[in-house]
Formats: sequence, structure tokens, C-alpha cells
Amino acid sequence: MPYARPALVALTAALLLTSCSSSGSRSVSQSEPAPAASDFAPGACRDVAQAVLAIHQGSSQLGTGPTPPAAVLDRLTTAQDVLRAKLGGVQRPGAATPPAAATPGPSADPGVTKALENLSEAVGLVRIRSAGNMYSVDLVKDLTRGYDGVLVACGLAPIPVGTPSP
Amino acid sequence: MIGSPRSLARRRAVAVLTVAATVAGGSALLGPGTSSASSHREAPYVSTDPAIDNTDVYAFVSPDKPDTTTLIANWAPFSEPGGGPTFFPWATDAQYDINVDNSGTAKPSITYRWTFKDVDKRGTTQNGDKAGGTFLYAKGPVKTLTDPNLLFRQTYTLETITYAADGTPVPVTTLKDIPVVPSHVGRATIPNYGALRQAGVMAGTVGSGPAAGLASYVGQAADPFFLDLRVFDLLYGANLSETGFNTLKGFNVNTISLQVPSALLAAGGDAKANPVIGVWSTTNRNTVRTLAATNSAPATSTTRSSDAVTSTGDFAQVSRLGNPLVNEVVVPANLKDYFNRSTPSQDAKVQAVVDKVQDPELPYLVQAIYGIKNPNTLAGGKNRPDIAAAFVTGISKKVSAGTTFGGLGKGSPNVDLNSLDLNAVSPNPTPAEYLRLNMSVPPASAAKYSRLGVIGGDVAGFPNGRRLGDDVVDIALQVMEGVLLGQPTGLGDGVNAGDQPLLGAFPYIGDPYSGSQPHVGQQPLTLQQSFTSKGGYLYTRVTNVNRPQPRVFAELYRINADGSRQRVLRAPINEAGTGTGTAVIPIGSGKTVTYFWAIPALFEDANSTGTGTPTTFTVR
Repeated sequence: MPYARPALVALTAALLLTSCSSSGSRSVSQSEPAPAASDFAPGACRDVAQAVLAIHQGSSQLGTGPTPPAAVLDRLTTAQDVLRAKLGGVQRPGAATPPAAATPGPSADPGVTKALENLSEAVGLVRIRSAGNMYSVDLVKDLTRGYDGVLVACGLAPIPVGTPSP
Repeated sequence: MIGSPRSLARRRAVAVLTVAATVAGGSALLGPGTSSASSHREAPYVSTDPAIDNTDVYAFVSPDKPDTTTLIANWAPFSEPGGGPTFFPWATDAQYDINVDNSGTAKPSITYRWTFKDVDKRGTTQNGDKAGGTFLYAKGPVKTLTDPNLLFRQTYTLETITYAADGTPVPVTTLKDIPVVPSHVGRATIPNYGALRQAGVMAGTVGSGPAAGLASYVGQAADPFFLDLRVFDLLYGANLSETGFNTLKGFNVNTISLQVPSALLAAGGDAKANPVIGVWSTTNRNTVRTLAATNSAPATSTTRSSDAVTSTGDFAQVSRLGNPLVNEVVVPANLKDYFNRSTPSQDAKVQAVVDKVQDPELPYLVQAIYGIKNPNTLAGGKNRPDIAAAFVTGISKKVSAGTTFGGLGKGSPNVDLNSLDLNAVSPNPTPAEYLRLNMSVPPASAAKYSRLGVIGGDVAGFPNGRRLGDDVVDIALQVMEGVLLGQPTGLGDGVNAGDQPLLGAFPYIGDPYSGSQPHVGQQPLTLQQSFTSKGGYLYTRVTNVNRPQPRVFAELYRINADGSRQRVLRAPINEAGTGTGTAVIPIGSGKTVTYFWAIPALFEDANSTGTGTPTTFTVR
């Protein structure tokens, strides 16, 4: 195992270099297990479930540095493309053709649409700030808030205390 | 409620503006009658004529003399310090103007005009050779502005022009044949530029007339504007990733700085009743330039071959600049020359320009790439009253209510800040694109200062005038992306300040880079590395990287016994050129190892890579 030691050294050093990361705040969604895609209601919610879950997973992998890992950003971009395809409107140049399930269909519940828009925008902010080397770990809160909003809109999470009832 | 953060953010943005305005001076600050960008080579024509290409205009209440206002205008973009042998003279067949509108007509109420003359002794200088004439700028160290060693120099005349009721200009010569501080040719030629700069400040020398009490400076300076110009590479590399590099670092400009008692700039001499002024610079050239049909050697040692060009005819405006970035990134390419020749009073009549202000291009690009809403779809975003207020009406409660400027800016922040409708003399001013400065807003204290100006809670900064340190690119990006409409993006170009220090007193603008100093891309990358050990651990870090760039990582290498090198880790480098942290590596006491740090090549030039000296030591 001639490379084990350098790898260990690098890992140790990297951990030390990033040991000052902030703990951040935890939301309900972070403390509870994520639902399965099949838990999302059929329709718009189910169509984008994989993308929403991918964003949620990606939000925990962004790290604390000014430039999150490119692979994570790529996954967020792909997932955002799915949301944007479902929402209709302007699509990202070069975006892959979305799966059929994510193409615009009959208009979703306005609450779901709004929640997806907010989650998509939160991803967009992470991407644009990362591209400009200005990513801040605070942006994860927006992602988490957006994710929580989708869960609420899709009926998968209790309505947070303090939210006015309809 | 997912939607609520946006509305909250909007309220926050307006609240910041409101609170900041209040803190900076309260209601007495802004109301009349109470107690109280940038464009480097931005258009086809000027890109062929750098001597008259104005780059930026600044207008701010002088931080050390708050009863005065400082106006700064720069020309000659991208002046490479070593650009000899002619360096960067002012054009002698042009008029350089700073215009002030204090009456809301969008026409100049006062024009400060500089014109230049050459004093050229290069043709008569003999360095022992057979014929007279030298290629050099100086024949020895230049220690004063009239030093005989300085073979080429210029002088300027400053006229202060006011206008009669019918618009007839009334010029008064304010300063005549004053030495221009020359280009910073290099340390051998100019050992102490600061001394020349000090000598070039004309302050308190004018005791009467419309310019009583002013200070004037004309010379070369480090370009104070800072930005990453890769915005033009398909919008920062097609995805806003090409950021964080100050493209203007290392370049100079020609600068005119003027400090004027604020009362002289205000309508009726009353800066309390009429505290707001509009400011823009223009350059005029003769309409006819003639190149002699035949060529001949200079007839005498005092004439030059360039004298074959003559300029005649009336003067016509060829360049114009008020707010930064307008002609650069708002006005479409086919209108740029037109815009440079137009006057602020014409702005509202050119629908294509108005349309670009009310519906700018950038948000469409950002929406396509990143899925961030175009602010024109947000509540209150239609026709972008926020941008209209920043660029063409100023910010005031009347603008917000839509009662002035024909409703342009209706719905913009409801705060009295810098619209000329705050002046007693101009209750219904003309919309126009120029800098607007409320001279009654005091300079920000160090605690209040924000490079983001008004959107950073500092109402003494852009778009209330413009200071040398205002980060107008970040401000413009954030405003265009809707920060005042409740869509805070935190966007920026990753360049937050200029590199050359600003001065604490007039003329404020930093000294030019010297021709002796290699330009930034020509400087080899250097770094310092430190290695210590204790308890079997190696402690190492990298510092003083002289060319830190975003996404640059320092890499630590170990040299193995067989001579091969092995990368051990990568550490990000911050803006100060320091690795972010100390690496601690377990090795074991008594072992002898060799390590070094290196910066991998980022750009194509070989100077963007650097390697520390391999260092061998026995771990304690």
C-alpha cells in the first residue's frame, strides 16, 4: 500500500486546513430522513422528486470554501435543469433534454410551482456565486429553505409552526 | 412561506437605504428649503483615439474638506507605464471638459475646460552625436516640473465657463500655462513622482472669479477603476466564472482633479437650498483634421514630423461619460458612438437607450444561464424603476411617487437622496444620464464606509456621486439583478478594490505605476514557504504569493528518495497571497525529508507559475 500514507497525510492536512468551518444551522429537513422519490405525490411533485432529492443531497456536499466541488455543482446544475424544464420558461443553454416526466405538463398547483421556483433560484444563486468564487456557506440555508418549501408544498412535511394556515 | 424572504429582502433593501439616509444626516440632509462607470475603449471611435477617450468620472464630497466637492475625470485608458518613447500626452487639439448641471436642465450650468500645449525640446537636444535631437523623454533625473532635464512637457489652461440665460457661454480664464505633471517614465527619469505631484497641485492660487478657492491637479495616475474585464468574454467566461482578476492593475490614466467649494457648484451659490448637482465629462475635437499630402523632414529643430497633421474647424463632442458602465455595457454597440456625441438633455428622447435602461440585457443572460429571475418579472420590476432612478432621475420621494420626470422611476426607493428635484431651483428637472451628487451628504466615517455605497448602507457613495473606492461593478451587477427589488444575489466580479493606494488628501487619486515596474503579467510569480517541525509533525504554510488569483492553489510536494516528486496537498490562496491555514503533517521524529511549495500555471504565461526552493530538514 505505497500510496496509503500520502493519502492519509493529505486527508489529515486537508481536514486541518478546513477545521474552522462553521457548523451552520440545522433545519427540520436536515434532522429527518429524506423521503423517497416514491413518497412524492404523482404529478408535478413526483416528476421532479429525484431532482429535488439530488439538490438536497448536494446541499450537504458543498463544503465551506469559496469554491464548492465542481462535481457537486454539476449535479446541482443537472437537477436544476429538471426543475426549470418542469417550470417552463427560459432553459439553460446546453441543458440536456430533460426526461419526459420533467417536461412542462398541465400546470401544477400554484404552491408547488412557487416552491419549485424558489428551490431553482436557490440553486442558481449557489451556482452563480460559486462561479464568481463568492460562494458562502450561508447559501445552504436558502437551499434548505427551498427544499423544505417543496416538501411542504408537496405535502411531505408538517407545516412549520408559525406559518399561517390557508 | 417561501415567497416571504423576497418581500422581506425588498423591505430590507429599502430599509437599509432609509436608515442609511437618516443616519447620514436626517431629514435636514436631503430636502431643499430645510435647514439645511466607466468606459475604457467602449465605442468604435474613441477606441482609435485614446488621448480623448474618457474612462471614468468621480464626484464626491471631499473627505478632508467637507465644504468642498472633488471632481475627477480620467482619460487615456490602458496606459502601459513603460509605453515610451512618446508616453501619454494630452491632445493639444482637444478640449477636456467637466460639466456640472445644477439647475435640472440636463445642460451644463458650469463647464470646467482644460486645454493643453506642448513644450518640446527633444529636437534641440544634442547628446554629443553628429546631429541634434534625441529619442529620450529626459536627459537626466527630473526633480521639478520645470527641470531642464525634462525635454517634453505640457502646460494647461483652465477656463471656467458659465452660461448666459440664452445659453451663450461666458468663459473666464482661471489658470493659465500651468505645468502638467508628466507621465511616470521610470524611476531613473523621475526618482520621486510624489514630489512632482505635490508641486503640480495648484491650490489657493486663484483668489477671485468663479473659481475662487479651487484646487487643480493634472497629471498621470494609476487607474483607480477596478474590475475584471473578462465580462466581455461572453459574460465572464460564459458563466461568470472568469472573475477576481483586476484587469486594470498596472495601468495608468491621465487625470484631471478639481476641488471646488461646494457653494460654487450649487445653483445660486446656495448648497443648502440646491445641494444636488449632475456631473459628466466630455471631450471635444476639431471637426477637421488634415494630413498634409506631401511629406518632408521637419524644417527646424523645433518642429516635428507630426506637425504634418493640422486640426481646424469648430469643436465637436466625441466622448462623454457620466455614470460608469452605461456606454460600456448598457448601450448597444450600434449606438455607442452616437451616445458619446449626445448630450444628457437628449437622453430621454432616444427610445433605444431608454429601453436598454428599462430592460437591460444582463438579467436575460443571467436568467438563461443560472435560472435567476429577471427582475423585470418581480413585483415593481416592470420598466425597472430602480435602474431608472439610479441612472436617469436620481432617488427621491417625488421620483418614487412618479410626480417628476414624467413618471420615470415611479416605484423606486422612497427616499430623498440625490435627485435634482430636491433642489429648490429645479422642482421638475429633465431626466438625464449623469452622476448625481447630493453635496449635503457628509463623507462617510470609516465605520460607515462601504465599497457598495448606497446598497451597502453608505449614502455617501455611488450612486450618490462616486468615490474612487466605490465598487461600481458589484453595485451595478447587484442592482441590475434586482437587489432594490428584493432579489439580493450578492453578485460581483471578485475584485473589491484597486491596487494602488489612494491619497488621503487632494488629489486623492493614487500615483501612477512607474515605467520601471514590469507590468503585472511580466512579474515572475514568487512565494515564501515556511517549514517547522515539532513532536514528529511538520508544520508548513505558504505566504506572500505576489500574484494571487482566484482558484489558485498552492501545492505542497515531497521529494522522494528516488528523486521523484509527489504532491501531498493543495491549499487555496487568499487575496493577500497567503495559503488558508497551516498544514500539519505527521512524519515522525528524526526523519529527514524534502518538501517545497509550488503554484501551478494558471494562465498561459510562464510567469504565472512559481516554485519554492526544495527544503531538506530533519523532523524534530
